[in-house]
Amino acid sequence: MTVDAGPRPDAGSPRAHVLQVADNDHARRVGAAAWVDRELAFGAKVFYKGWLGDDGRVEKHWIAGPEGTRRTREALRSGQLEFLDFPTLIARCEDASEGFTAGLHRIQTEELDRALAEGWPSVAMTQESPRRELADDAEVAEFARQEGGYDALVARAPLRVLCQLDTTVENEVHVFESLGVHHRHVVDTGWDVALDDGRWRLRGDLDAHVARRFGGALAGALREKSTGADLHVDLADVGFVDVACAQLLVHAARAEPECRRIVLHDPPRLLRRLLDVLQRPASLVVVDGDRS
Amino acid sequence: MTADVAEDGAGLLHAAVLCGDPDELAHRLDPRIRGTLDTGGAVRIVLGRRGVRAVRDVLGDAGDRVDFPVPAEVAATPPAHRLAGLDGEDRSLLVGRVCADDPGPDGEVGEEAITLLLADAPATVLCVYDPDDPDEHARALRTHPWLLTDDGLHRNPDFRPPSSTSPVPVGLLGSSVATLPVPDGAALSTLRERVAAVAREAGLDPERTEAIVLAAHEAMLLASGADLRSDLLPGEHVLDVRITPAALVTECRGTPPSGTSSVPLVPGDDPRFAHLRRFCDHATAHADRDGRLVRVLTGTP
Repeated sequence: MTVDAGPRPDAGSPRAHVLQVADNDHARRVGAAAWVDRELAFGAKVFYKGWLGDDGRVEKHWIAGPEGTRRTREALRSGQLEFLDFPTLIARCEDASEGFTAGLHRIQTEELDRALAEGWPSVAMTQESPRRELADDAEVAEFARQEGGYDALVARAPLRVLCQLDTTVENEVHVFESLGVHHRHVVDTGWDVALDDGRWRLRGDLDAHVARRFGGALAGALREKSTGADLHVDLADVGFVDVACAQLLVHAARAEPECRRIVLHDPPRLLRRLLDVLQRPASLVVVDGDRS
Repeated sequence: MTADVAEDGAGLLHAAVLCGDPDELAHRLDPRIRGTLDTGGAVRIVLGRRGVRAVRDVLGDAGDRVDFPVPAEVAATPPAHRLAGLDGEDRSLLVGRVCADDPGPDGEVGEEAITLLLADAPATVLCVYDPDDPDEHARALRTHPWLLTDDGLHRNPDFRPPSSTSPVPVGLLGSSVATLPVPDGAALSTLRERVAAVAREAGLDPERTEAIVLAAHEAMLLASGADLRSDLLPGEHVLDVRITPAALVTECRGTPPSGTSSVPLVPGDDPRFAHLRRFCDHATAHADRDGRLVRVLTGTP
């Protein structure tokens, strides 16, 4: 899987906060390695946050080995790529006088400002799956605030962020909530989504294998909409939707307040039949032929 | 275990009528025909001229509400399609001796196709056989789970059910053209690609191809034991795609996790089965201690 989350810095907007979802560690590494290599190739300063082994040596981390690229190994030596292990990051945040999340935001801001002051044309930040339980609503809200820090930085500087999610090391709650928090830009196995010009543009196949993840992203997209604002979903590049995912759309539309609709633009031919089978509510609207 | 079909159940009731005399046959059928018409079901009688005349005489005005197609036309229709137009919500009735009139192996295969592929259809199929013909008599007893006699319907103790598990007779479900292990949900996309490729090669149009891909995808989820919200449950599941001259059959053999495979699979009660059958011509589901088998059939041009 290659994560290509939008135009390169020299070809348009350099800003993005993307969630890369992988079903296993190998797929996660392949995607992250490709993303890091591209960022380095285009001259970005890259900050990598991940888990080191017991010996705490970055030389033993996979990104410094054969699974990373030669450019990545050279960047580690030159300082274009900086690695920070999670235990060290957590300790710094816990020591922060302003609190954990504010401390995390301060560290991220300092990294960004330092890179820009050093003259790097753009900055990239990536982090491995945080392995957090998200045991209750308070922890979920805290997680959302922490990720919101990236969004604030992306809004003010040429920054690209890749959050890596390995579904084999996180629990179901974490996977669902992480998709919700990152609903604006997700690259998953077989499907992806990006919020573009007010439309939530989906691509690929939506099936039972990714239904829970799709449901998390959909919940996040709906949560963000203000009361009365419709959610516009562009399905022109979706090839397949099965019962599980069609049902998610139906249930989501039924759960919405009367004043709000989910508008499906250019759905695949069969989805319309499937939605009728599932008794599509009036708040789930299908619009054809306005591909933009 | 195939979904149990009682006389008043939701599925197919496939019975032999051992009767060589048209007038006697008409009287034996009379209550069945009137009962079906009274409950709003459709009735189709496929008999020769003498048989049709005898039935009309017994039914009187009610005969005007019965469809009497020409036997030769029905014989030219593949077995799995012979109930076309009788698939309303009310139980329909089909009477004939099209398979009995075919002395070759296709006649017996036709009976087994009706039992196997139409198992969940809300229909009564009464097949008329001559009891004085030893071959016809033997075939009738071999291939029908029920018998209609003068005193009503009875389970047929001589019935030999067609195989619902391997090995599947090639003559019944066609030759296997593609097999694929589907160990987990990540393999579902490959399943869809494989079914789509076979459907296109079989000449199905894009819309029908999309429908059978969806039906096969859902069939595999059902075979794995997944509920409507869950991913494919990991296991040694296998897709087998078969082609007959008239139909494309996808066969999904699943091994649900231990503990769930013993749960009876009643297709009529399963919402996923209800959904998938709308995207194909026929679907059947079976479960036994070795696993689940879901078949989806779509006619080819």
